[in-house]
Amino acid sequence: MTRLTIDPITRLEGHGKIEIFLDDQGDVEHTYFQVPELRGFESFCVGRPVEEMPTLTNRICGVCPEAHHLAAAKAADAVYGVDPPRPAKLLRELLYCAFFVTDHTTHFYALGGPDVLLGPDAPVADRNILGVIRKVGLDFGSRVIETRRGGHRVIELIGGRRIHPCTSVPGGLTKGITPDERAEIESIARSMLDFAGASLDVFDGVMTDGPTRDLVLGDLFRHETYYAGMVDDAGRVALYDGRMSVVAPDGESLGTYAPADYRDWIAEHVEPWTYLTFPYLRRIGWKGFVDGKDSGVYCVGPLGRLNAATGMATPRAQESYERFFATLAPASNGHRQPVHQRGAHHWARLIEMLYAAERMLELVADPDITSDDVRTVPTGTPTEGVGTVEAPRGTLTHHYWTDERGIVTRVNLIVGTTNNHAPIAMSIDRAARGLIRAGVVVDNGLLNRIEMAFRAYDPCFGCATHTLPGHMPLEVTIRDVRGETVDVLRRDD
Amino acid sequence: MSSVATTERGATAERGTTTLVVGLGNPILGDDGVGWRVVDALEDRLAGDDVTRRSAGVVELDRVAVGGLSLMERLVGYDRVVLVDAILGGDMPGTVSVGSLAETACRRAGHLDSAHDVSLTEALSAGRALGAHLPDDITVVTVAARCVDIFDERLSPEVGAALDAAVDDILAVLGRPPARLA
Repeated sequence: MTRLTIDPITRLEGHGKIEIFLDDQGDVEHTYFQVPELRGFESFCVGRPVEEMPTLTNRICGVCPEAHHLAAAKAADAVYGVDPPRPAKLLRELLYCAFFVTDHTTHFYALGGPDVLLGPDAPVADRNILGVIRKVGLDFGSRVIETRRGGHRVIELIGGRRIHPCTSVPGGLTKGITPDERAEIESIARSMLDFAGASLDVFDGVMTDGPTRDLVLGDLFRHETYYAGMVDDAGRVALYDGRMSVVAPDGESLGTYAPADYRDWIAEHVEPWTYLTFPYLRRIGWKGFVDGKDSGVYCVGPLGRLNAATGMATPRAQESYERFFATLAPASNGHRQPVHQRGAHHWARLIEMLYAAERMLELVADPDITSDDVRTVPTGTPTEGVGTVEAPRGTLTHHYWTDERGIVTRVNLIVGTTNNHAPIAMSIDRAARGLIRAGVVVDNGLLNRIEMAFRAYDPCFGCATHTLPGHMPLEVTIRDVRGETVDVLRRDD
Repeated sequence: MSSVATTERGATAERGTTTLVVGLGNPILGDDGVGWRVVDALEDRLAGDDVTRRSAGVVELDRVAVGGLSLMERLVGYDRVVLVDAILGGDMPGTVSVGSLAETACRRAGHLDSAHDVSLTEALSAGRALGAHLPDDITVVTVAARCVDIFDERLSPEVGAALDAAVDDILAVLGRPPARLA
């Protein structure tokens, strides 16, 4: 048996690897996707006041501190049994939408998106933000940076700091915004909306390219799984608050649940070869890394959210949503089918970017947005609470238990990439089996197509356990049956 | 981010004449946070010694837990930057090294290649292509780490003992005129 290892050189922030075992014929027998573990977060939190959690958990990782900040704040609200006043909820959601536009922009133009923007056959050396700037032009490239700057500014205005917000506390926020700040946010949101629309046009443009279309639509990156995401009262995509919706591979709803009931719906499977668990739907059960309605594997993130919802809550995003499904999964038997092509994550991400920008404009137009009624001071005895938001890369749940003084006694986190762990592992396996066959030369281009299978998910293990970055140097070791090295392939960044 | 200190109060110098010193890392992940702690120690040294402060020139201090594009965006407008980061590799924990960004990036210091972002080198190229004023002179001071995968606000003893040496190295860099690279 030959063993192929896709092994990024160790770095502080993470060291993930993909091991591909070949059989005697040179076909793929198994693939394993492994990430080492960050340890001790629970014991680090135990003994601290729960109100510290929103500022503490946003330090878990520098990638989505805003999501951790708000999931932690919602969990702390629940621990104290306090419902923040409406203006506080609107402001938190406004901050969160600005973060979504910023994060999705970064993924589409700098991380996973270059696979689509430049095409899967573009040289690896060009498939990065510099290559994207060459493709879209300097003016458009400047708008990428401008959009990020605007997003960081909104986060600073509402969250008190750039990148690591600090204003959410149990019961609401420590401060509101002034009319001048509201006007500044509105102007940023308008520019973000223009940019999101232009980004969808860019996407339409590259989809006319055959290999790119295959990457998004092709069977190499297709899985028929369940999908999960947060929805509002009308079943439409919600990012900050709502119920969880689960949809089967054939498009039928499995049901919805309050995020606090997550343990009735989600169980975690353990494999001996990785520290990270594989969440699955408890009602369906773990049947292995397989597609289909009998397998409890589910997918979250942009594709999961669009599939689990009935639409988008803003007009332009709804138009895009309808076109997305009409193009990729025409209705059959009278009801809509989910989109199963994993490359469609890229498109779904842009539709969410458009939604988040439109939603920002709705929120800044709300008369309550400049209210100074931003906190309900908790008076109840703290006990236990769950806070869930949709992080850019999937559903993020914080669950805290405290003593009667509000001192944390136990912590459980399920982060977006952990929710997607099983589908990511399956996509890597599917891509490896589709690409590596007896007699096929394994080169960097081929390995990069395997990477594209998981890059579409925008995976990040900074908080799941350790980090598998969207962009990483790779070392591939091919070993024979005795484990001796036959060949080494390297791709440096 | 918020923890910026200007050592000469009232200085009206343009950003370009100011040196920015940035501690990189995650302050709750053991030795990964050593960059922050070195900047804390530098701040103390500058605050406590007029002679040192004058020889260092105009310095801004910051601590960030980001890399890639976000780090590049933080560096806009400066001619000279010193980055302080943890590094894993063959060195004994607590070993302090000083090098250019190019030299250090090859050794893969922790946050110069970001977890979920482009590398700083790539981000700088992108920023320059888009017309941003970015420093030519980037020095990286690294401290070899022992443990970066267990959540802890404390440094391991040998890494904690290296803070003064790292501050000395940064002050030596600050005492030099900024380099102009091609």
